[in-house]
Amino acid sequence: MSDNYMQIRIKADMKNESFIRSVVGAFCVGLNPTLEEINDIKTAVSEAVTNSIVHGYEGGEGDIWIDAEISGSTVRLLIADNGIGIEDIPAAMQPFYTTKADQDRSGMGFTVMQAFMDELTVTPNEPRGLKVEMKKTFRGA
Amino acid sequence: MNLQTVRKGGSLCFVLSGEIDESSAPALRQEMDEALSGGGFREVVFDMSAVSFMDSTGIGLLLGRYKRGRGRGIPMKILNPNPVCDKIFVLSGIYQVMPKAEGVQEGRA
Repeated sequence: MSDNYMQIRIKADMKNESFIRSVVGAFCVGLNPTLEEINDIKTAVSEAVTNSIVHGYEGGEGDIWIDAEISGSTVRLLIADNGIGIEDIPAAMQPFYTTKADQDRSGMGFTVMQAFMDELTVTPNEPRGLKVEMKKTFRGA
Repeated sequence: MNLQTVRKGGSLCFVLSGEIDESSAPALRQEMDEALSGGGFREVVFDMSAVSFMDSTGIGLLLGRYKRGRGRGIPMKILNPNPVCDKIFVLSGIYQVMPKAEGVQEGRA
């Protein structure tokens, strides 16, 4: 049973990145997170959304779905796309793994999500695309 | 996102402010590379104190500039990273090639 939830469907466009992470950050503010905790959430969201735009849709047209759900002091996030997905998910989750090194990609996206959140699960979306599920419990100041 | 390029005392200093992400990085990359392609400096400084948000795009941005300067043997450092940036910098290990510096940069306006 969730205490609160929201759902966003938004165009996969770089110009929406700041909006998406700000909305998710604002959604969590009621849980009295520390500044660092809010920033962790915003950064992890930014990584997942960048991944959908740059890798999932390869800069082309598409939608991104963001579900956020609060239960107690825990927020669960689901960020999904219908893009090309990732063939070898465990390999892609290794630090510094990138298929686009020539474009100044650090390959740190999943590493950041893993380090900044308590739980990270990456699975294929059906019928296509990627689903990134993350959880974080706010412990406060 | 705003970028100020300051040259003084042999330093080329990039003073960054605002948010570094996928949407702001391309313009930053272009402006930095234009400055880096010139000469007249012995070190490059990235002043991060006024950056309000950064994801791993920032790591790619800085490492990309480092690779460009490496052939010319130009040392680069990261000045005054606030906690927002520092956490990702530490995670990435970037300080091994671009050391962290604190204090007032000579080249800063």
